[in-house]
Amino acid sequence: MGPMPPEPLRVVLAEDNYLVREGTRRLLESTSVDVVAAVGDADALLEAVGAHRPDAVLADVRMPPGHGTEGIRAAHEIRRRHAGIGVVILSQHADEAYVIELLRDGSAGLGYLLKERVGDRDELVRALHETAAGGSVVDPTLVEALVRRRRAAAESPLRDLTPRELDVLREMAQGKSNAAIAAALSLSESSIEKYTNVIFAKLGLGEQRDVHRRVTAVIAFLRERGF
Amino acid sequence: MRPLLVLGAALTLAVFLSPALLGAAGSDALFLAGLPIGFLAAGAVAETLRPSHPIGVRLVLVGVLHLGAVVSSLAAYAARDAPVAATALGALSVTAFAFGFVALLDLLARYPDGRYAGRWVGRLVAGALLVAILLVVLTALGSRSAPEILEAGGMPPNPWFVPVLEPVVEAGGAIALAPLLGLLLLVRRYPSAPEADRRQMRWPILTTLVVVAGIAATGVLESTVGAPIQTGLFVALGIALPGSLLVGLMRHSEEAEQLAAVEASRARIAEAEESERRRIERDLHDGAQQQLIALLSRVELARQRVTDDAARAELDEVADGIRQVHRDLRELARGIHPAVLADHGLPDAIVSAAARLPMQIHVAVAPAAATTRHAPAVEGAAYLFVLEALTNVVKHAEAGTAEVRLASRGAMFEVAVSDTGVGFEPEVTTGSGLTNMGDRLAAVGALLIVESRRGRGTTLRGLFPAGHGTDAA
Repeated sequence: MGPMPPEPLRVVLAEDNYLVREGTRRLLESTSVDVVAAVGDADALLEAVGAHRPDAVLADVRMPPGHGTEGIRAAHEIRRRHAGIGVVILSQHADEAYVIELLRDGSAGLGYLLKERVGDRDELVRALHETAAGGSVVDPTLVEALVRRRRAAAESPLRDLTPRELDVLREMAQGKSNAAIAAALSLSESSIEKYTNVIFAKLGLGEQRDVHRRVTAVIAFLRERGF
Repeated sequence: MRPLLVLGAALTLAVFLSPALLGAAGSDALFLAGLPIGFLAAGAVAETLRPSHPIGVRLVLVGVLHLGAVVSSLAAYAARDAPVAATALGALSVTAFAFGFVALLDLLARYPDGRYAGRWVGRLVAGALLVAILLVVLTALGSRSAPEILEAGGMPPNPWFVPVLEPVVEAGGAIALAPLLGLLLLVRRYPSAPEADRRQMRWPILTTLVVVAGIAATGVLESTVGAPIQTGLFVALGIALPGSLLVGLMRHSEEAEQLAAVEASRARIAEAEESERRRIERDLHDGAQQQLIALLSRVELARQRVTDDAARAELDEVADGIRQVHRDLRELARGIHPAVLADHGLPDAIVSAAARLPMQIHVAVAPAAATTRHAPAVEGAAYLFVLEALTNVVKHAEAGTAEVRLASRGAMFEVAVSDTGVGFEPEVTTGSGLTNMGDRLAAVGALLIVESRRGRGTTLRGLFPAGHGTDAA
C-alpha cells in the first residue's frame, strides 16, 4: 500500500439500505475520504457520478428496482462514461460468477469486495484508492475459493506450483502490484518478478506486465472449468 | 355451433311434421331420421357439457347433413309435379347424404381427442370428400327419375338424365362405405392409443361394427325379418352409435380434465414454493444480513475511536462474532435459494454448489446450454435436483469423483449427475428418496431417469422443459 495522497479521496456511495449506507458513510468520513453523495439506487448513482465526478464509487451489487446485479451494470456504465473513476462493488455474494461478470471487459479501475469488509476500514479505503488509480481489487476470500477449487481438479497445473508460488498467485489474483505483493509477503520486488515469470510459465499463460490485465488472466485461468 | 343446432332443430321439426303433410313417404322419413337425430342430440349434449370440444361440433354436423338430406328428399317428393325443382332438391338431398357420411368418417378419424392420428389420415378424409363429390354427380346425372333417398316412388323424370351413366348409377351407394373406413381407422388406432383413450374407443368400435354390418346386411335383413324390423334396428343403432361416441367422450374429458387440474395445481404449488424460497432469501439478504453489516460498520467505527487496547481487542471479538453470524446466515440463505441461480443461471449455480461439496466434481456444460435461461421454478427444481443427487453421491456412492452434465435436448434440457461408485439395483431398491425426487421433478413437468447397477455407478438424469415460462423474470 503506497502513501495516501494529500488530497481527500472524493467518493460517491450507493447502497439501498439506510443503516448500511449511513454506517459506511460515517466509517469512510472518519478517514481522509470525502463522501460527496450517498444514494439508494443505480439511476441515482449514475446521476450523482455525472454531477460530482468523484475519484471512486462504492456501490452495493444488489439495488432497486430489480434487486439483481444493478451495481455491476452501473459499474460498467460508469467505466464506459468516465474511464478515470474507480468502482468498488460491495456484495454479499461469495460467488465468483459475480466477479467474472464485473471483470468481463477488463479489470482496470474495478474492485469486488465482500460486504463484511465494512468491518475493515483500512482495507475498504485501500480498495477505493487502488481502483481510483486504475488498479483492481478482488476479495481474498473469493480468490481463495477459486484457488482451492482449481487445485482440487484432476491434473490441475496448480499442483505444479510450490506453496510460495501459490501465495504469489493469490496476491496477483487480488490485483496487487509486484511492490504490494513484495510488501505483503516480506520479499524483494525482484524475487516477486522471478516468481511471477515462473508461475506464468508453469500455467502456460502469456506474460502480462500490466497489473490489471494480469488480474483478468489469472482469474480467467482459475475459473476455467472445462466447458 | 348455435346456428347449426337451430338448423338441426328446424329440420327435426320438419321431419316430425312430414307424416301429417305427406303421408307414407313422411313415415319412411321418420325412420330414416332416427340416426341423424341421435347424432344431433349427442352433439347438443356434448356441446353443453364440454363446450367447443372438436368432436361435439362434428356429431352435430353429421346429424344436420343427414337430416338435411331427408328433408330435401321430402321436399323433392312434395314437388314431384315439377321435374326441374324435384330433381334439383333431390340432387341437394343426395349431396347432403354423401357429405354426411364423409363427416361421419372425419368424426371417427378424429375420435376421441379431435386430432388425426397422422397427416395421411387428413389426406384420406380429403380423398373421401372428392370421391363423394364424384358419386354425387354420378347419381344426379345417372338417375332416370329425379334422385332422392326415401325410395318413395312416383318421382318425375330427370331432365338432366345422361343415359350412358345409368349402368353405374348404383355405385353411388358406395359412399355408405365411409363409416367402414372410419371403423378401420378406429381399429388401427386402438392398439397404440393410451389406455385412457382406449377405454372410450371400445364402445364406439363395437357399435360402428354393428352399424356397418347392418348396412352390409340390408338386403338379407329385408328379405328375412322384413322392412319394419330392419328400420327399427337402424333407429336403435341411430341412438346406440352417437350415444356410445358421446359416452366415450364424456369419460375422456372428465379424466383428462381431472388430470389437467391436478397437474396445473401441482405446477402452481411448485411455482409458489419457488417464489416463497426467493422471498425468504431476499428477506434474509435485505433484512438480517444487512442489519449485521450495518452493525459491523458501527463496531469498526467504535474500534477506530477507542485507544484502549483491551477495549479494541473486545471489539475485534464482537466484529468476528458478527462476521461469523453473517457468514452462517449467508450460507442459510444460499441453501434456501442461491442468488447466483437467479442472477447467473443454472451452470454458475451448479459450479458454485459443486465447489462447496467435499468431493471432486466435474461440471460439463454444452455450449448451447451455457447461456439459456429457463422458468424460475424449473431452474429451482433443476438446481435442487443436482444438489440432492450430488449429496447422495457424497453419502452413499463411495465414489471419489462425480460428474454433472448439462445439455440441450430440443424443447427440453437434460441435467445428468453420474458417479462411478457402488451403484444399486433400481428394480430392487425401494426408497422414498428417488420417488420424492421424481415427484418434485414431475411437478415442474420434468422427468427423472435412473440408471444404476451394482458396482457400475449411478447416473440420474433429469429432463426439464426448456425456455422461459410465463412467469419468467
